Amino acid sequence: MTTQPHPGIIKAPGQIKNLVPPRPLRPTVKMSQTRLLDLVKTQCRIFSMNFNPQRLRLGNKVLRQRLRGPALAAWYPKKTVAFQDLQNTYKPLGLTTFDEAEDDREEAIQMSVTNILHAVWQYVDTFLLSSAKLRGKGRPKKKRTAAGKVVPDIGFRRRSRTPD
Amino acid sequence: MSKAASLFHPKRLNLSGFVNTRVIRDNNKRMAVEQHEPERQALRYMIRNTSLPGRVRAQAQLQLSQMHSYTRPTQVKNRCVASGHVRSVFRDFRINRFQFRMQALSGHLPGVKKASW
Repeated sequence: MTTQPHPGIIKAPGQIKNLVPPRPLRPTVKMSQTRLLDLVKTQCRIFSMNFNPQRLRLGNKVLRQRLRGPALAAWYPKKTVAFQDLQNTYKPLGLTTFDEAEDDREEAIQMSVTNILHAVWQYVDTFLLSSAKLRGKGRPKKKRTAAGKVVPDIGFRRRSRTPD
Repeated sequence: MSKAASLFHPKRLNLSGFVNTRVIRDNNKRMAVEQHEPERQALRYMIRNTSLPGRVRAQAQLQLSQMHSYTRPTQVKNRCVASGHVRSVFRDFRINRFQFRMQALSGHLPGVKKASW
């Protein structure tokens, strides 16, 4: 029993084959070993490669590698010209600029001097008044009973129990 | 005994942008690698060259192994230029993913646009 081809498939292999051009034949030229070596040697000389017909391990691949150092060293941004450099350049000529940082520093010094003076003044004030009591900062006066006796101050708990 | 890393401290800091201790350390390593790379490569060449006498090659091995670790290129780590972070740093922009996002959204990276489709 023969199988019928599907009506959708077009079978025309012969036509397709004819469209492909025939592959050209390679010319076979016999070359002597010495001539081939000479060729390789010349090739190496021209392209500045290492001529190594015995294939010895000469480590030339290390010399062929590119240096990675400059690329690695250029990763972080380097310091460029700063405003400070400009100031330093023109300072010997007597040209000064407004330096905000320096201004802030001087202001801070001024502030600290004022603070110290203030502290000194406070100390002198305290010394002149001789005690805290005179400035109304002393301990509160003790509680007095009807008999005119002073309740002994011996702790918070005991005092709370005493009748008024 | 390990040699002191202070050998590689620069006299004056030549960095701008974000700087912290780890960034400075990595930069020191990079400088050391750049400086000592020819020496290291010469030693590596001698070690791999089988035409050299064995004694010379062994000496070269010893010398290479005794060089400071800072001169080794594998010590170098790509850190974020804007924040100093080490993780997920884009090589093309030299910043990590979060800095990249922030800078890209604020339009500081030319040609970078948020994709939407």
